[in-house]
Amino acid sequence: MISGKPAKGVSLDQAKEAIQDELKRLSDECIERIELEKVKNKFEATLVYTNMSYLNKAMGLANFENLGDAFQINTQVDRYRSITAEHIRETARKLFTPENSSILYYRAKK
Amino acid sequence: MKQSNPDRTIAPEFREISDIPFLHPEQKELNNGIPLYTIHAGTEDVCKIDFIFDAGLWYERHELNALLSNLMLNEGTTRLSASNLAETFDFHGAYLQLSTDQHYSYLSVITLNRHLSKIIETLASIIHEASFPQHEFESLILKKKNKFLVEAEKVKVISQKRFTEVLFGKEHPYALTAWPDDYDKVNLEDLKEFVQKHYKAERCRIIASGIIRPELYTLLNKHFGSNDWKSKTLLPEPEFEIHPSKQHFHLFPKEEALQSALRVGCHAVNKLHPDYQGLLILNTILGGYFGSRLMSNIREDKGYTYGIYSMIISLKKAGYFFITSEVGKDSCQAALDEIQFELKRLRTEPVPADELNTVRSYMLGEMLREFDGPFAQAASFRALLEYDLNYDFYRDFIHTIKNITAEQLMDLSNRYFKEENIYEVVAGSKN
Repeated sequence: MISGKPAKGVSLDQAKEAIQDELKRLSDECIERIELEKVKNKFEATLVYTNMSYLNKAMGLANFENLGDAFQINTQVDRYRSITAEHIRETARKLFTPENSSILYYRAKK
Repeated sequence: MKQSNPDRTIAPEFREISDIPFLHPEQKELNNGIPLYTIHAGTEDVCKIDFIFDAGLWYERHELNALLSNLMLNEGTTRLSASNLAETFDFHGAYLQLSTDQHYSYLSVITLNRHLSKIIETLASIIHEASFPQHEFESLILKKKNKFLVEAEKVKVISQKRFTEVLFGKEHPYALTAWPDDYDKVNLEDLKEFVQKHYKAERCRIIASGIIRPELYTLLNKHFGSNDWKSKTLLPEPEFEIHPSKQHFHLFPKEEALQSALRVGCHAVNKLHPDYQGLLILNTILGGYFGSRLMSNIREDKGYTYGIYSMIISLKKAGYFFITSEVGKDSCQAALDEIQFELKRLRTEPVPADELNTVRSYMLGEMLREFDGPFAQAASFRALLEYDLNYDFYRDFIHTIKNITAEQLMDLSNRYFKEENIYEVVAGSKN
C-alpha cells in the first residue's frame, strides 16, 4: 500500500502521477548497487534489532512455524540478502500494473 | 529440519515469577578514566553504545541550551555535513538517538557489529568535531519552534509544565519553563560553549550492550580515550533551592479548550529512599495500570475521561508524585473530587488481598520486560547508575513486591498522600 497527503496546492491527480512515475521507474530500471546495499543493510538491521527481545523472538518463531517451518527464522537474513536488482525489477513489473491496483481518494470537504 | 512435535493438548506449565537473572556489567576504564560498562549477551551480532554526559538541563544558563546543543551535534562536523551524517547512519542500518533530561545528555547508537568501526568513527566526529553550522541551526530552531507552538497550546502540555513550576519554583531546573518564544532567544555561540564545557571526558560514561566484540574497547579508546579530551579545570556543581508554591490550587484558563487537563500531586522521594519501592507499589494500585483505582472509578464508572494514571518520578535531587488526566470540561471539579476520594480511601482502608495480589503479579510481569534482552538490561542498569545503586535495588524490589502488606501501604499513603501537601493544577476550565 502506498499512501500520502499532498501539500497545499498539489492536486490528488498530480500526486497520483508522481507515484505512478516512481513505480514505472522501478519496473523499467534496475536500482543501483549502492541503493540496494543500503536497503539490505537497513532491512537486516531492523530484523536483527527486532530479534533482540524474547517476546519478538517467540513471535517470529510462531510466525514461521505457522508458515511451515520455525527454523526459517535463522535463514531470513540470507534470503533477503540474496535478492538482486533484477528480482526487484521483475517483481515491480508484475505487481505495479494499473489493472492490479485500487485507488482511494479521501478529499477534504471544502 | 523439524523438531519433534510437543504435545499440544497440554498447556505450558504456569509458574510464578521467582527470580530475574540479571546480567551484571563488566567495568573497565578508557585510558583517560572514562568508565566503560559492558553487558555482553544475546544472540544477534549487534551492539548498542550509550554515551552519557553530565550535560542536562541542570547545567544550562539559558533556556533550551542543553537540548539544542545536543541536537546540534548531529547537524554537521568539520568533516561531515548533516546530510553526510544522515547518509552514513542510514546506509549502514545504524541508528543514532540524541536526548536530554534533567541532568544528562545522551548519544546512543545501535549498529550491526559488522559496521562498528565506521559508526564509532562517525560518532567521534560528531562529539569532537561538531561545527555548529548557521544554516542548520536556523532550520532546527524553526522546525522545533513550530512544533512547540502546536504543543504549547495543548492543555495537557500546559498542565504538565505548570505543575513542575508549582512544585519546584520557576528558577529550579526541574521546572519545565521553556516556551516557544524562548527559541528566538537562543544563541549559537552559547550552544558551542555549552558543548565545549560539558561534553568532556571527566563528564562522560559509556555503556555498551549486545555482543561485545574485542575490538570495541580498542576503538573506543582510540577515539574517546585521549587525555586531551579532559578539561584543565573542573566545573563547579550548580546548586538550586526548591521553592514550592504556597498556593495549592492553580488554574490556567484556556477558553477554547474542549477538555481540561489536570495534574494532582506532591513532593515525594527518589530511588535512594527506603520508602521509594513501597511507594511504587502504592502508585500502581492507585493509578499505575489499567485496573487501577483511578481508572476503575473515573474512567470505567464515571466516564469522565478516556484515561487517568499516576506516576512516581525519581530524579537525582528529588522525587515527586502526580496523577494526570484530561477530562471533559464540565467534569473537571467532579474528577478532582473523585481523585481526592480515592486518595482518602488509600489512607483509611487497607487494600484487599485479591487486589494486592493482582498488582503483585502485574508488577513482576512488568519487571520481566525491563530485563528482556541486553538493550533492556543496559537501560535498567543505566537507571541505577546516577544513584550509585547496584542490582540489589532490583532484588530488593522483587522482595518488596512479594511481601509488602496492606498495612504498610496504608501507612505510606498517610505519610505521602497527605491532603494538605497535595497540589492541583488545571489547564482549561474548572467549570
